[in-house]
Amino acid sequence: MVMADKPQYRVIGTRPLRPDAIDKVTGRAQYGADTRQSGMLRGYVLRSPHAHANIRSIDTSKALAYPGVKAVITAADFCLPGQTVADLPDLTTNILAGSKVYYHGQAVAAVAAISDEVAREAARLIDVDYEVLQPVLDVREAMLPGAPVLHEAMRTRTPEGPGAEPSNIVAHAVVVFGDPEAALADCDVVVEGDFSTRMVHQGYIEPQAATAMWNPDGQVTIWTAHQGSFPARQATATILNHPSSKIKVVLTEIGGGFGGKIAVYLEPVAAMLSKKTGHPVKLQMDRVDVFEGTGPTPGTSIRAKLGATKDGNFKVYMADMAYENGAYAGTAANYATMVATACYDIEHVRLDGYDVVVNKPRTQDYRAPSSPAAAFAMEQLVDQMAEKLNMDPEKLRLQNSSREGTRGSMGMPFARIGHEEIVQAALDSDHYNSPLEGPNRGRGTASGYWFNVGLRSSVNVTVQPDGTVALSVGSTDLSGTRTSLAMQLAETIGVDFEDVKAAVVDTDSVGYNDVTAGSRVTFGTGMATYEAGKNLIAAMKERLATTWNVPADDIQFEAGKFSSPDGSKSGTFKEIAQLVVGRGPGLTVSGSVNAGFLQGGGFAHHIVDVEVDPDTGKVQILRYTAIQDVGTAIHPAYVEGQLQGGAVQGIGWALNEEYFYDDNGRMLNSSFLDYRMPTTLDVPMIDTILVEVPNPLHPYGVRGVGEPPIVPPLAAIANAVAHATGVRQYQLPMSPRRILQTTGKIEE
Amino acid sequence: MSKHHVITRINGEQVEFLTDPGTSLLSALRDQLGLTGSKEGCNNGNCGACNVVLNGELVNSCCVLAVEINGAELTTIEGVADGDNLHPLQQSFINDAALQCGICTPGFIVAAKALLEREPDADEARIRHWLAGNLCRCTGYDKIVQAVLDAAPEMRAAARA
Amino acid sequence: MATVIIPAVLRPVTGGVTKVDAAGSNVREVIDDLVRQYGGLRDRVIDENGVRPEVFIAVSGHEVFDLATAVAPDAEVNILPAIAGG
Repeated sequence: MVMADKPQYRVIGTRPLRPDAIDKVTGRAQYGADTRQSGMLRGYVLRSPHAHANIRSIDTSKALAYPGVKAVITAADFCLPGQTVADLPDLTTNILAGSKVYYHGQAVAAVAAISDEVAREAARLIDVDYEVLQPVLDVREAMLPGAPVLHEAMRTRTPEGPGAEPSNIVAHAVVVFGDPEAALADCDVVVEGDFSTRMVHQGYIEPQAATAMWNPDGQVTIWTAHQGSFPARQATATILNHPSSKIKVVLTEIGGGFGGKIAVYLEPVAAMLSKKTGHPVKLQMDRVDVFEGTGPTPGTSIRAKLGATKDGNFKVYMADMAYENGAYAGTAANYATMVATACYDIEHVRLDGYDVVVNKPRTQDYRAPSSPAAAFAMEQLVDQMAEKLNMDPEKLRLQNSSREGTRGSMGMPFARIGHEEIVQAALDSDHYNSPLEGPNRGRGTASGYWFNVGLRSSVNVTVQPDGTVALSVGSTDLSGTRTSLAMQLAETIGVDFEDVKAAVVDTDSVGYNDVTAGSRVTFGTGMATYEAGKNLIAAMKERLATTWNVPADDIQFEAGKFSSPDGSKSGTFKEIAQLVVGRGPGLTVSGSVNAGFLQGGGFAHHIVDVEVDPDTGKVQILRYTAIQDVGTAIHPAYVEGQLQGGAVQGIGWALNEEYFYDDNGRMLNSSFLDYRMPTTLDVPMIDTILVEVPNPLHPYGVRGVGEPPIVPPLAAIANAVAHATGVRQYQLPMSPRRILQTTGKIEE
Repeated sequence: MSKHHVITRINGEQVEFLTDPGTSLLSALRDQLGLTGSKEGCNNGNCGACNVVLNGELVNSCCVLAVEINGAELTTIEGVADGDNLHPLQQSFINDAALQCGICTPGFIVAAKALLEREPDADEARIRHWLAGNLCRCTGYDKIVQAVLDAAPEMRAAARA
Repeated sequence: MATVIIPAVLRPVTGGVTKVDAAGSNVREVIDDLVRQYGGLRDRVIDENGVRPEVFIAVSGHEVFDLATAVAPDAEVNILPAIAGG
């Protein structure tokens, strides 16, 4: 669906073949673990078998004496003179533990050796003396007085100032609009629920891998599959206490991230091992390491209520939202307060967000972080409200929808957004208007939001003597952004897509780029690319002014053509480039922007049909439609791919995925067999409807599209299951066991 | 530990190497033979990123020992294209935007080729059943299944010719 | 007077107060007046080099980068924490 006012583009909106695809379909593309360096050693990281323990001592002498071992390091190697491991910051102890381990799988020591096998064997000889402590695993239990305390120094940050006693509650954030208590009393209908979701993993198929070379002159090179070369460089520099300008980060291809490859784990360890040995050192995780030692996304407990008038006008939303931060302080619940009510215009709001540490891995972002769980609560309450009022839930959503000028949960008015348009698209869709027949079947819908960010980006554009251009990008390409950026440059300078060659370059070769996250690259780095394109046209005019002997300001550039003021001389970009660069000096320009914090918001809306097997409790997805306001779809096939991929990750989160722990805090299902991600058999084709409401904050109307599609599935499927079974689902995942429990087939 | 001498054919070429008895085929391919197109996603046979064809059978190379391929015929992702000519599956994956990050792509292409070569008329349900051992976290599978469906007619035509 | 909306993360400094009236004709003056009222906000929102990297500032719904940006007398100034996503 295209809005009537969409401009006509020449390249944008087409579907060219991506230039990195041949390497990826032939096996030639080089990912993190594919790095090979001359004289390279292999490393291995020893991890904690305990979820909560003091480390009394670590004896590495036997490991160091093992034949083939070149170095063994612990957190002590990261201490400055006069420092002890107890003084090290969280950033450092999360990559090698200091005086305590806070989760099963936390890195404790690392070995560099002549082979992977030798490094593993030697690591078994490291003697760690643990004093095992009681772990706390449940977010609500961790909040109770008397719960085992992870960090003695932690005091809860509250609106009234810091708490007096040590606590696992990192912070209590409060957001209030209007007078929610009073307004609740005036509501005709109030629905409420106590919702919970489990810790889940991003599930990227490529385990983390990093290789480092520390040269004797202090110059360090790191090859890594990371979501941000510059943030990785900064974090590594901080941990190593080494100047960031002496660290060059070279990005390899990256096998998925989804927010899980924003933190550093292996990079500083590999660098320290290289410093100690004088050799390049490669570290790579296996799947168990990835599940147990990297950052999954929080489990949550959300108690919420929604109040409305009998006409269906939402008046009040109140939610008490506790989010697991894992082992170290985070801001997940604070995020939740920023997104929880974004889809609707609600005057009276109270949100209490509790960030809580528990003995699980330090959590990280996962595609629209914190928003799916918040929507799991909100969107089921909307469905319950529709039932109570006997209204179509889609019409209820439309009636209360946010629009331009509505204040979201951040209290700031939205610019032009497309939530109304996508709910209307659902109402108009073939899926919504097709009857769903048969027993044990139900249809559910839900909305979702992510605010999407801009941040800082830089690119370089070099004109080649043959008139084509090279685009050097510093943003990690997770899913095809080299293509979406090259398309924007081709549009801006009026050349064919095939005449732009885009590559991701290292941190020494381009200006600063923030992390590839928040759906920001096609938007923010796109703005830097547009800027570079404009700068390039201006630079070409300067060159042309000399050649044509006319003032640069009088040269026209329109529809891909330069022309002299009197029209006597003209040429395409390519022709002019061959003239002024092919016969003159080289030409490189850059584009650098701070694209701002907020993009203006991305909204998704999903429709799902399910069938619930009453005997086995299995939920089968029969049909799925993902609708989204995508601003302007630069490459529609990749935009569809984002919607489809996000939806299926959400399906996994809803139905099967969860971290299982024993009472001692040891993860029990750290394999792809037992951590059950969706396969081809679990899902149908995912239909998409792209609604294009151009974003006024971007020259081509781009909106980030990657994050919103993971937000609606949890609630949409829960709503569908509720309609199929008559039983509301308050807890994820809706696994067969859970369905049988809640439908009374087996005991809880 | 004594090394074993392995003589095998990989992608049509004779290959000889020495290996420890405990080394997996995936490790040998990646670390000794420089064939890094087979990817390690799980190292226990659950993700399919290391799929290769061993004597005509689709296997996870992480679950095969390197010594087991002595005297065998092996095809890896590096052997799927015919020189400069991409295989129809490789071309359809590109045409259909069936890859995002691309880490699972080699495994999917090797697995899909093994299916279509024995069942050129495989329908969507059969394709989904066959590919259930290959995990992708980016695409939601839609465009992958479509790419396999789209490559099938050309492979049928090639088989008849 | 402009109305400054204090984000949850900074409300410990304002004792839980959400909205603060602050005087000034541009962003720098408004924030300076805010800091006069709540000294704990010094160097938490802006410092001598401009907007702190961990927050962003919007005036009447539009993000500002230049502290000299004019603020209308009835404008709303939002201070928000800068976070990214996955």
